Amino acid sequence: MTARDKLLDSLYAARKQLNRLIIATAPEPDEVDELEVLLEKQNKLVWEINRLVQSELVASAAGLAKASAAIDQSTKKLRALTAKVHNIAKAIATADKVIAIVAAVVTKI
Amino acid sequence: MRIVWVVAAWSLAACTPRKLIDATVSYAGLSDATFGELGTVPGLVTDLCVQRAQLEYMTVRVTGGKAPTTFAEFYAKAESVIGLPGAKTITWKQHCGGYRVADDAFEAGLGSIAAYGGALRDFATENATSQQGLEAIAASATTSAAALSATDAQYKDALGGLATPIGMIADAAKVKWKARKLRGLVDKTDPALQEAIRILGDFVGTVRSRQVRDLREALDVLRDDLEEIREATGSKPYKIDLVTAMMIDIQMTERITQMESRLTALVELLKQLGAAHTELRKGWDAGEDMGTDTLKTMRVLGKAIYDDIKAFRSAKGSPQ
Repeated sequence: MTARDKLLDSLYAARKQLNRLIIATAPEPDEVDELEVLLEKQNKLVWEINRLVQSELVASAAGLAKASAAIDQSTKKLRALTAKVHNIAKAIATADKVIAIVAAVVTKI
Repeated sequence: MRIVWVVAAWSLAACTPRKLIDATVSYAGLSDATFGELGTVPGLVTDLCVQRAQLEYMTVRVTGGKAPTTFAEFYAKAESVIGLPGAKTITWKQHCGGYRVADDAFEAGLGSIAAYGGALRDFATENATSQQGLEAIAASATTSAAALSATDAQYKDALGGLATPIGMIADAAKVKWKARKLRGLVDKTDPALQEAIRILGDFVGTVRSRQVRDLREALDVLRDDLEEIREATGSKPYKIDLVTAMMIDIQMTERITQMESRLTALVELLKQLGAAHTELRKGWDAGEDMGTDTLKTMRVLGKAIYDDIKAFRSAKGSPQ
């Protein structure tokens, strides 16, 4: 498996955890805004994946592996979150981290 | 006088490398068959991207995101993307449309190799009609590949190098055609043809490892989402009819598997055609003594090519 493939695997694993939280969290009507923000983050992650798929990466294999490891750590945190409204803010912060990691790798084109 | 005529005719027959000409025409036939089939898959990467957008649309709808009610609206909806240079927003339509340059270069590359095959046959059968066609198509391929190199288009690294070998084939054809040197043409074009085939094959491999893999991952996400919904809602259908969802899963899996099978067959086809041209070059280098062997080899490779064409045509998505 190439470093790019591993990075994609890590991103998709993170995405699955975001989707799990989005699907399983049942907010009250006055709590939907935060969930909307998480949906936006999930959408941004999809576009970063798109950019990664289409990009010619010049980042070193070691750099990509480091990014994968960091994303895997974030995914672990997401996996530990239960689908409760009070966890959505934590999920948003973690999603931001993942997006920043992949955006940094892809912009090194 | 009659004796002189007979001797002259005998000399001409002896000098005409009939078997090698037949082998050349045979190669051209294989080239025709190959590219006739490949012509049925225009817009390779763009099509994969549209399928990816369709999966995303379904996923967003399933997870309860704010997706437009039709795919067409979703496809045309501007999305804000962090890392984009310039405008910072993009639609799926623009994103998928961005692959068109690569698709055009790929198709033009295939078209050039096909035109070269046709030109070889016309050369061998002393029909000069396809020379202009080859030049025009090679020019088009060179332009497409150069356009790919000059922009930030996707896959420019994978296909940008195509302009050089295609240009070399066109140049060799121009020079050797005028000199009526069929052997020289086959000999001169072989390295460029092999390089063009290698680039096209690598491109398909890259498409498979990126686009098709991405499709599989996206389908897996959708599948997981549906499972989450099933777990969250028990046996009650919620947000989506689960039977419909399973049908979508089966159909998308079939489409992806079919595409993978076709891409595999396509790479094999290109490799076999490259091998056939190498054998043709070897035959011409060795001379008419090897003509029968070259013709035989061409038939063996021809069978392999027709098998690959069959595999390409009948690629199935589901297990048989």
